[in-house]
Amino acid sequence: MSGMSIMVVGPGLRACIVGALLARRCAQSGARVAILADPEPEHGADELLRPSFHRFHAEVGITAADLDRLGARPVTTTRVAGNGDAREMALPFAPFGLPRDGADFHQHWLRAKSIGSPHDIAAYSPSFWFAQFAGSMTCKQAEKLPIQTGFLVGAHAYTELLKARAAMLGATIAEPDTACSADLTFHCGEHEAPSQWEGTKITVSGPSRIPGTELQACLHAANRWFAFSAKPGGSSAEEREFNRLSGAEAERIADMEELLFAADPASNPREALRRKIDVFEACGRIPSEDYEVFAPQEWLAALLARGFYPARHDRLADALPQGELMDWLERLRRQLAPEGKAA
Amino acid sequence: MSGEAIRQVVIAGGGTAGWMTAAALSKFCQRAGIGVTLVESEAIGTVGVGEATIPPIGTFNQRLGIDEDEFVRATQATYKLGIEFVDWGAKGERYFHPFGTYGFDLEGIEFHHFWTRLKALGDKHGLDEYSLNALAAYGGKFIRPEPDHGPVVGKLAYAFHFDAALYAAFLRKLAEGWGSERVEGKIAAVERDGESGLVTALKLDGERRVEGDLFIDCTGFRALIAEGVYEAGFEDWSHWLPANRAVAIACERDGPPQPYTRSTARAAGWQWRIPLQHRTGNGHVYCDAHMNADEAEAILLENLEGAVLSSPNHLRFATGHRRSFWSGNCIAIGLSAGFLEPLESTSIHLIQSGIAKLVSLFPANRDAPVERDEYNRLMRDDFTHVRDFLILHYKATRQTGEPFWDYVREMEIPDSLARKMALLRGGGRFFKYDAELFDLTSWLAVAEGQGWGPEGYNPIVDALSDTNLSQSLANMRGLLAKTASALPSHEAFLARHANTSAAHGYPSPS
Repeated sequence: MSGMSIMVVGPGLRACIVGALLARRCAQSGARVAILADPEPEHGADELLRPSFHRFHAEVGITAADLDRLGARPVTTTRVAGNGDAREMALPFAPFGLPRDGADFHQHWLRAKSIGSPHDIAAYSPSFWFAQFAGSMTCKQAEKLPIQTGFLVGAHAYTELLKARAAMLGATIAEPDTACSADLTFHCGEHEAPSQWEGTKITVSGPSRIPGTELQACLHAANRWFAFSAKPGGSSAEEREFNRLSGAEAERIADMEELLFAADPASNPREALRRKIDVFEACGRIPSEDYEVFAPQEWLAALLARGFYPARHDRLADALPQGELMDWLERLRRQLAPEGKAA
Repeated sequence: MSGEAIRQVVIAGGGTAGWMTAAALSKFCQRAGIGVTLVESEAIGTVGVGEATIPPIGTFNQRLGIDEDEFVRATQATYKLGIEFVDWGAKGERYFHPFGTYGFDLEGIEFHHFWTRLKALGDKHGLDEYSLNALAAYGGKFIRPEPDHGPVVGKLAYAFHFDAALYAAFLRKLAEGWGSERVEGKIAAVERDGESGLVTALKLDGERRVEGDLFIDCTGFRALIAEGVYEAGFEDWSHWLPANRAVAIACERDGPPQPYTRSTARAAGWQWRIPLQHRTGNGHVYCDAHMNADEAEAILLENLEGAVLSSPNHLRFATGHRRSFWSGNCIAIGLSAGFLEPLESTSIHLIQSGIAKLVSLFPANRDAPVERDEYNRLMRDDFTHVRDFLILHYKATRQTGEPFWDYVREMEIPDSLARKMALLRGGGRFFKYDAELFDLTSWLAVAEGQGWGPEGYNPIVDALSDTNLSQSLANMRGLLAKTASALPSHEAFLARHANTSAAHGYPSPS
């Protein structure tokens, strides 16, 4: 890797995420990273950083205090505006309840519902519970939460922070119109998904309607290149695998977009989504594919929000005697939201 | 029968697959008011494959609430830490495929990249020295990891060798205790609904009928319902895995039971050795295009380590799986679903996997197309992933001169495997498919063990100086060796926890 040069170009935030990660990973190996980022508008909208950014922050040396100084706010769900009159939906970062006896939590909840439990599954979601307090919490306070969190952060301020971190890690920060050449170039946000690697050029995926997924895809592309090759031109096997996984990632994002935003997702022709809906409606199971972007609880929340409901639960959830099931669920619910108490 | 709803499950055939299914369904479905009946005939023998297992069997037993010590006692089980492969890469070579993981990752980079770089610098320490499982196995050591044993002992992953017939008997007792009914009899015919084509009953010898809503075909290679009724079809993989015969025989143990399986390459296949408490199971898997049954039996008998205890049992099989595992209202589980040679001890796992998926997708009605399609998709994936890993063992050989080995070394392989091998060879990269059974450790063990290991590594590893790299890995080796040496012997552990006589001499078979 020594002596290799990498250039990252494109919209400010996206290029800086990729550039900062590469700068960190290449810091001790002698490779040179140059970031030529377009400026972010100073008063642009906030961006969502999904929980996968925790590791990125740890790697590049961004602390919760740094994020607090930027005015970032912790969040525990992805909030998605529905189409037209559809209500807002929330996809939780942390799982609902706890799995038990080999069955996912929601299978126990489905069984309880079938025998008369009045509680919505949201009553068992630590993400939904903490969401009501997240707005008044600092990032530093959120670090102590026992669940996964993300952040809402101003794009301009966060981009500047990333530039500073990348520079500290040895990257060169240049104006976007600087004449420059490199052994490998990452082009961020230039094209529609999926990300693509061809020889000395990697194009990093484009926009998504689901908050946070585009930035996460930028992070994944840089990570994936690093995991597969970490050199300018990979072998054909490495390039093919990079492109295959990027394609799978884009497919899963497209599946979720279809589920969240399509007028009638049940009639969609996407095979993997069709399977998710059918199997979920039949028995509550959520089939997973070879590359999943969203966690099972996010699929579960989206499926329920769009009106899909299982006809029955997993038989493994029958192992618990009925009384014990109801007691356990009630204990979980009260532990999460003790009556009359705030978090 | 009660309309279209599932109220009664009928399992056709006993054996390991039948009783594993009966135990699981009676345990998990009884609260839903679903009855389980198993039909078997003592006049029909069972094949009894799958004496060696892989770690997920522990989860299956746990879910059934089985006490591990009781299970070990009842099935004459020993513990298994991995598989030793002899003569596979080339004559005179051996390697160990351990359960668990190698070494410790550093700075978020997988261990094997560091190991590959150290090897490139001339270091001779093999992967085994970074595997607690391999060190313990070759030292004849074992302990069941408990939470207070700490993270290093916690790396020890294990499965079992056991007597499959005793396991079936053990599960039968449990299943019957949970309400399963056993019906003795030979299946003479299968009755179907004239309109829907769904199976309605098994007609037994005499005039007896066993009615049901859902049928599980555990009739072995015959696939009485899956093939006999539904003509599910067979996906034949014998061009990739050409071994199609086996001869099995039991012999006396000649020493303490080793906590690992051994697989030794032979001229037209390979030989297994599985140590149990009361005997050693042996078998020779071969391809009849390159060796006849007499030759195969002679080779097996020449290579036993103890006195023969049983007559040779010759088996024929075709490698592959039913095109449809679930057809109509019948699900094929066990040998009726398909067969992959027991090179990586996956026979019982594939039964377990089928049962787990069936319980999870258990249909409400007799005709359940969504659940059926999903089950078929998942099982196809399971078989395909295992298939690719098995083919790796043959494709990565360097043996020459034997027609069988020349064929498998030169044969075309599935794209999915070619992609994996290229990535692993080039830069030590590995991608695991969703729900794929074998992980990086397994692929690395076999590939490296047979001379197809990584030639490159993640360049970030170069950030570590040669001295630091060498010292870090030396520390790992030291820690693992020290931990392995402190473990009790496998024999002593068995004696203490399963109250076996293994530590008190070597019992003759009853």
